[in-house]
Amino acid sequence: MSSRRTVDVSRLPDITLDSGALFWWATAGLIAIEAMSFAIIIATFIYLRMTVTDWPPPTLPPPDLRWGIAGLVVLVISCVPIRMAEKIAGRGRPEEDRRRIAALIRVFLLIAAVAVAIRLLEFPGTHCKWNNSAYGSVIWTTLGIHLLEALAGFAEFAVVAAVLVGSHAEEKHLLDVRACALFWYFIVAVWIPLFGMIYVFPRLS
Amino acid sequence: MKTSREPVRKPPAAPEPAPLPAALPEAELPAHEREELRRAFETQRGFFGSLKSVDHKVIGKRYVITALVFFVLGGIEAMTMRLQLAKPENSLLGPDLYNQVFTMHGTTMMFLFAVPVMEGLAVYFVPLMVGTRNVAFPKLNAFGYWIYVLGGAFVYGGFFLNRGNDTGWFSYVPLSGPQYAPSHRVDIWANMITFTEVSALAVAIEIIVTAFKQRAPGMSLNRIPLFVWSVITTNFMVIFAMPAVMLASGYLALDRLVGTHFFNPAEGGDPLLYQHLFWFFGHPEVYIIFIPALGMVSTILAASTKRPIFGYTALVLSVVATAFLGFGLWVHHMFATGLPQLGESFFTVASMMIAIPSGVQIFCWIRSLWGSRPRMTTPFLFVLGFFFIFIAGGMTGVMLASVPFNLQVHDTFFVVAHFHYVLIGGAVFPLFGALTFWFPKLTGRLLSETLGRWTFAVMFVGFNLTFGPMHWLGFRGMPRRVYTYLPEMGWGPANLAATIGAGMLGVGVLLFLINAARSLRSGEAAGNNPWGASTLEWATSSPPPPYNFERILVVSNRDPLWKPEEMAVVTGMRTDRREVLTTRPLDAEPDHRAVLVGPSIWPLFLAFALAVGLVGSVFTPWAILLSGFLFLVAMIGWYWPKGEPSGHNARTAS
Repeated sequence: MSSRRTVDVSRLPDITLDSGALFWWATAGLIAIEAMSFAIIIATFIYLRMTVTDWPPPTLPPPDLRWGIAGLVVLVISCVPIRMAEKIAGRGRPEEDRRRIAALIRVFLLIAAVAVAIRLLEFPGTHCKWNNSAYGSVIWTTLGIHLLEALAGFAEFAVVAAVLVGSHAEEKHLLDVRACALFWYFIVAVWIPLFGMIYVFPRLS
Repeated sequence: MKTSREPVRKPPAAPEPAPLPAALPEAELPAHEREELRRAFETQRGFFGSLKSVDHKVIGKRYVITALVFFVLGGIEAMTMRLQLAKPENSLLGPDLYNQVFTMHGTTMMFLFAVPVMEGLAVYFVPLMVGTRNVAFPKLNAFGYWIYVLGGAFVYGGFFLNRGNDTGWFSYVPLSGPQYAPSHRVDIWANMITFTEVSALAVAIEIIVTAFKQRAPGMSLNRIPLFVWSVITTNFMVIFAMPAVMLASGYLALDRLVGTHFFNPAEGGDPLLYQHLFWFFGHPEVYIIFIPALGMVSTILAASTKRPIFGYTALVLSVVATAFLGFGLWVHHMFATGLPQLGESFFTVASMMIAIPSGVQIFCWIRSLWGSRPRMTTPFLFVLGFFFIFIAGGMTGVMLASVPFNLQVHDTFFVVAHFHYVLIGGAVFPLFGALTFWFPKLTGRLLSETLGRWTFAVMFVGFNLTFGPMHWLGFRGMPRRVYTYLPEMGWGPANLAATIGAGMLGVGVLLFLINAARSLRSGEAAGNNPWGASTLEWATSSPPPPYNFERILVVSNRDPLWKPEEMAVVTGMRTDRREVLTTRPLDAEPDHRAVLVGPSIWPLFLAFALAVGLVGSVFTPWAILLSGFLFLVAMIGWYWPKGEPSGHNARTAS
């Protein structure tokens, strides 16, 4: 009875910055939910497309490619500073690196703001309104929901950057940089099929 | 066949275990460390403190109690419908109120009772069963509860102001569209859906992460308690099912509020799209309610027979298989919509396939019972009731999977009978068994066995008297959702029987509540492990302290408390902050010591911010902007560092 086994964990670290962290898992879960939502939006697209003969409706040109492509390119570029910030965060040295990471995030915020501005031009570029037809409804809703997601990702990074330059920055905030980055990559990646649905799909028929 | 007569070999019986503190003295902490740990994890006192609570046990209990309040409300609605239908041409409820009442009944039972009560028990018991101190995301957990309560209050507020939805719990378009439902009734309902689904999604993430990342060392995947497996599976289903209904109700709200045309065939939309989206959620929803109950059945069976459950791996795989198949069935709710026949055949086959994993489970349970001497306690009686009722409901389910039969009884009381057999038999009976089983852990007191048996008997007879005759009524052509019928139809006597049965069912629930109230006042003290069960929630006191376990336990088999001599404990955890041990997902080797967040008012604020948008958007789309601003404030408040070392309570740190 006296020689009971014990497992000593006092040497284990307080935090991990890789995929073992709880917050990383939370972000992965959020991405799973969002991915499912966008999958259903794509299903809605295909379903509505199948019920009508003309897509877009007759006399309506397909959405403007100009702003569409510009938006996609800027979104992809926005990943560059985030990737750099995330790499530095992975070193796990908050005191040394936090200002550099915050600076990279500010560069990102600038680029992301351009992407949001372009998105606002993409709405009129569809040549229709949400209440003209089911075609307009699904395109506007997709643009809108993705815009909300992007704004959420933008806000997250803005808050993280503000915390990093403040006096309470800790190692756990480096993990937040990595988790927010993961979410942003998802926002950009999911836009690629959605871009296809909105801009390429109507040109195929 | 000769072989069938041979005596069945008994599975090894569990040895009578010694109570844990005696068998494992190392599990206790020195008094000062225990005090430190209590301060780190406890909920702050006072009303304001209780609003800030992030303890999974406090929140889990709130979920269960709130869900039971909604269960009673939904039951009262059911009773008024039954009274109205007790005789032909009754005039208790007019057609409009009847429509609101049956819609509220379905909405309440599905969205506000069944899912939340299962989630609530998961929130309470998963951390205890996997042997950790709290869920992985305590603030998210609190937020999930608040948004659920606000959603329930919203839809009932509407109902009491004569704005209860009157288009059925699934609110098909075009009936629920802007043309045929011009008042705000459907708007309130559609936005309520978002409240409850956000809540379910919040719980899903935290339960999955808790179960995969915070298990006691040694609790590899093949040692996870069956109830935990069932809620893991359920919560994966939540992640993939709930977005469909949020988008369905979201599109509906957009169609109604800003004039989009998702479901308007005149402008290229399609009403059937709504049905597809709704049932892509709606069918998995049934399994989201029912699969946790399977875990409860296994848990109660093992504790009642005092033997390990037979076919652990088969049971886990069956649950997972049911979950996968559950996503391939939704069209069987739409057989009457004129879909292509080939497609219908596919969904018939898929629906019938559900019988395979269900059968595997039933046989595993029979084998677990075989040759055992189960103690005939109240929880066990509810499990027996589950077997009887659920198998009967499963049989009518196989019948309904057949398209020609389905078309004959579509929208009749046969369908009402079927799904009440599956849902009440499959979920409510195990739930009442589980509530009786876990009541001692939740409150520290035992329920009265005598009253418990009466509860079961009255509920069982009442249930069958209510829903048994409905099979016949359906065959005789009585349609669902009609507020009255003519005497010449000959449906009167069966309806009267059903109404009497419903009264009995109500008495049964009342008996349970009386039992609970009496026990809370003067019930017998339960002790740590009154049932002699094997899972870790019974290794701590009843009710558990804020930190759950003084030391994190190490397990080396599936039934740790039956072999306490094989257990070990974790040392080296800090007791002066909210520390949990994280482990690796597969074999649960210790990974790192994560620090959890503490009490906070921001989850409540965030729930209000979201509520402003969802309630306000019924009246004006601009509410979304205000909500977005509040949301941002809440996010910053939620996230901003408090300027104290992580994981300490403010009070302790000062």
